[in-house]
Amino acid sequence: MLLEGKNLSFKYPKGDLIFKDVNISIKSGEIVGLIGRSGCGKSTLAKVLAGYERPVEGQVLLDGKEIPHSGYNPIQLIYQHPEKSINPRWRMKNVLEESGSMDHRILEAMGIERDWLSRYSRELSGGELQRFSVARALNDRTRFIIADEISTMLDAITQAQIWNVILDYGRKRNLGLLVITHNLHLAQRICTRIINFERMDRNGE
Amino acid sequence: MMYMPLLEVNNMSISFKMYEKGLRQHDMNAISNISLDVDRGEIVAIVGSSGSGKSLFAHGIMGILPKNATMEGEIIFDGEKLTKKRQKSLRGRRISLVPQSISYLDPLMRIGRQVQGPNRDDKSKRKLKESFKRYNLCKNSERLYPFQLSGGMARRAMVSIVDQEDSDLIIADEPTPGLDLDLAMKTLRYFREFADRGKAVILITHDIDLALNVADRIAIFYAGTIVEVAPVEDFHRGIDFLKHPYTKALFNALPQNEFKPFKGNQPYGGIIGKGCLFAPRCNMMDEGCKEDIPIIYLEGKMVRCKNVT
Repeated sequence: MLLEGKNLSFKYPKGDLIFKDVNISIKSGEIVGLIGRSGCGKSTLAKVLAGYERPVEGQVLLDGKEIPHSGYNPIQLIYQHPEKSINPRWRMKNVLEESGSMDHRILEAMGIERDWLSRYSRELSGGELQRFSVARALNDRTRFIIADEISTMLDAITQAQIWNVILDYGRKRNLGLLVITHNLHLAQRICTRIINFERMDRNGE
Repeated sequence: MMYMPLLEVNNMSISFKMYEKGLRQHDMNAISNISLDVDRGEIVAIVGSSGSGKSLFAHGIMGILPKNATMEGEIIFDGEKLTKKRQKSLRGRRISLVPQSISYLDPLMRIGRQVQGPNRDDKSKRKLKESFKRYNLCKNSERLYPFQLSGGMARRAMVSIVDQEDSDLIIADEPTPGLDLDLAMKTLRYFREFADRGKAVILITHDIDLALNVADRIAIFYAGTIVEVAPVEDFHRGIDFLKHPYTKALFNALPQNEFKPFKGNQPYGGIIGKGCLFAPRCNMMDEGCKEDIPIIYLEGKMVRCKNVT
């Protein structure tokens, strides 16, 4: 499959243009690193590609078609701060079940312990929570994963654990990955190619 | 005269009173028996995963623990015992904290005033202006309230706190997330300068890469204990120079090394018993690990593991 952003420009209603004429494409099986200064618009691009923000110009296409607006989103966006993307009033079991799947092998590989499932998000640490937001995105219907600084807040061991699970799952299901990170070591370790957002060729990559 | 480091923490333990059911209480140990010293001219980095007690240790030194916490052990600052009274008079003056998150700011006070601290004279106003400029904070940001700042701006404002007073000891609690690499490195260089001017710095971070860039010694925290304190060179020289199995696991997990995860999870405070807390995850575990673990001193470093020689 192919995820394409074509001539994307974006701005918030009262703001300035955040980026203009961005072209990006990710094939299934590819792991693309996206680097660039903070504030240059990487996270906004992630939201546009995942369909959470509409570009003011250009379009996002999945195999040449628009992304479906209802139902399960085949492009799963994982954020830096899990505490902001998990419903604080739900037990973790419900958080996982929202995406429909609970593959126990994934939970185990992710190091999610059984008794965490009955807790609320405030009763878990950031590293523990992030495993849940990754686990719920690893679903049969997922085709692309956009990981926006997902391991910045984690210690090295948890970072390695989460990424190894994602990479392993991604290989088996032939997923495409967009990895936004400031950690060059990480990008060089896992990515098949790396794009610098500020030096991107705006007229076709 | 006996040699004395600027800050010496001996056997610090912190526990919390927690309510179980109704009015029944129990104590939860959050950190136990931590000893660490920091001297003028050096940066000691505290590295550990979230929940390992790094911030609590800092709050213990500052004397800003919540009311339901009890602290034991002894802190000596500049040759004198750091009592509660002394903590109160020194904090924000000779000892400064760069707090971890924006939630430590007073939401109802303009940011300039908070950073400036209790002094209102012209000299400190000038200092404030200079340091805001240094951190690329625009002139009118002084007048803003915390909710009006972006995450990065708030972070820079908090880091600029250390400019305001001529502190002897700075404790920086995760000062760099939210800063881009340039600014993060700039901040770290600033801490370095600060140490080189004869001050002491404690840098708390979960990011071992960051610590390797700037620190002189690294203290590895695990589940509320220190498992190893080693000079930064040992990390650059390679895994054989690191002693504790957890330190080795951290090193191996870095993407530029093996990128290898490690089985198991850090235990919670409260379920902490006698013996080594890392033992359930450790490949070298044996019966002896359930006993009290001796602290082994090797040249320039300290390890809490009985299997280290």
